[in-house]
Amino acid sequence: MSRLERYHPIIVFLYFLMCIITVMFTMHPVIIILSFVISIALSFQLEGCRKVGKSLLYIIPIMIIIALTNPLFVHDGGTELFFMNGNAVTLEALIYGVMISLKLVSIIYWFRAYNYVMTSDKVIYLFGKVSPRLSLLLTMSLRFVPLYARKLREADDASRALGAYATRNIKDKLMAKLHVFAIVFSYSIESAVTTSDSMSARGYGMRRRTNYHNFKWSMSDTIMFLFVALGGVMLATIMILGYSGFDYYPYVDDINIGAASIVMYVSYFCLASIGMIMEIKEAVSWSILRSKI
Amino acid sequence: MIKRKSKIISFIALVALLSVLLFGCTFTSVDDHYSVQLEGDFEVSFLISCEKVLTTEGAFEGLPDTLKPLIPKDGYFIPKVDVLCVEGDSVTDLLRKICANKNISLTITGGNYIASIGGLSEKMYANNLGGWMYKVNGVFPNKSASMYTLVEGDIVEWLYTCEPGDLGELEW
Repeated sequence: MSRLERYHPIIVFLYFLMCIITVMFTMHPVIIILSFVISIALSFQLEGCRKVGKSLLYIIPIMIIIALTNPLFVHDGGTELFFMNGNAVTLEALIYGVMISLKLVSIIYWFRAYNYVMTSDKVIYLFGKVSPRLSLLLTMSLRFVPLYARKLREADDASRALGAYATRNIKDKLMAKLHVFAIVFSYSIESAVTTSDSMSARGYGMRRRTNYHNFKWSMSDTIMFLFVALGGVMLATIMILGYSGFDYYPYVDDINIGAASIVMYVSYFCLASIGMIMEIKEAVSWSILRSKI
Repeated sequence: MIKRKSKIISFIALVALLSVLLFGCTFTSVDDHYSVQLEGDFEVSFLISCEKVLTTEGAFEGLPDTLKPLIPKDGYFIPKVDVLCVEGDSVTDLLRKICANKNISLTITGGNYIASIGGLSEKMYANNLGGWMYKVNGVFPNKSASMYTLVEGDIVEWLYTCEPGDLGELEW
């Protein structure tokens, strides 16, 4: 279990909310690059190299496509590289496309780390009281994606063992696939109804019922809360003052290195990397403790 | 067997699509693009003006800071000049040639819509206001600039509008 998973769910939720919202609302290259690097590093740390590396294999082509699409359709910008069909392909549009792709991918990886840390029991603990229906719907739908993928594979294997695909006729094959799809579809509807029925039979969502949970607010949670809140307030103030604005057209702005901007970069770096730092600290202290045995 | 065949087919389709995309486009270098010479059969009068940006109250201040240095101080990207024009050229063709000749950036979307001239693009103001319009002989023609064929002695004006109606009444 990683350190981040042992924090109180509210802290973890706040931490990811701050990181994601900040990068969503700005086009500042420093913040975007910081967010990109830290989110991928955090994912590597939480999930291990193999899983995240595999996901990078299909994320990188998507990034390249996004980065190249922008200069093909946007012709603003002062530095012309070459002309395509009479319209300029500009350096600024290319940089903007790269930034958009970095931003998108970093948000994907933030959510990946969030989904890894915030398991369904934490989500239900956080939002079960506020809106039981929505949180049930969310956790069920999040769970159903891998579940149905597994069910689909099972039904597929079973029908292959029965010999449904042992034909060269494409139409027959399609019909067999369609049959497998129908099986999984009816299973999904049925299981959704059974799950929600059994939840309500056990009294989920009733007003006066209390839930068991094992989340305790500790001293380290308070420290972490103060840290995240301070970072969030500082970032929000500086961003509202307008330091997070950045123009790409017609010429890319210089990266501002005034005091307020530096404070913004540093506070975003500290805020975003605190999860990673905690993980590293935990690993180091664990290895020190073990060496003393 | 079938799997391999479908893989080959999809690969061929991808290559065909890419080659159509590449050969459907013409690529020119920056130097080639800006080395267009104006030559032709007859003369027309021509100007590009963004005067309204300077004269409308708050219009210049409303532009992004990076765009302000690109706006000419007198309001004319090209002051009124007589240029040579080839028989059968449309207003868009002429604009394209002159901009290439005078080192002015130009964006044409969809083959005929003038989105930006000299870095000043459409929709610069609130509610997507602002854009380039053209006049020939003092009236706004009721057709696309790429459909309007020029004749000798025409007076072509490209004007930037900041709010509806600031360039005068439309005739249609």
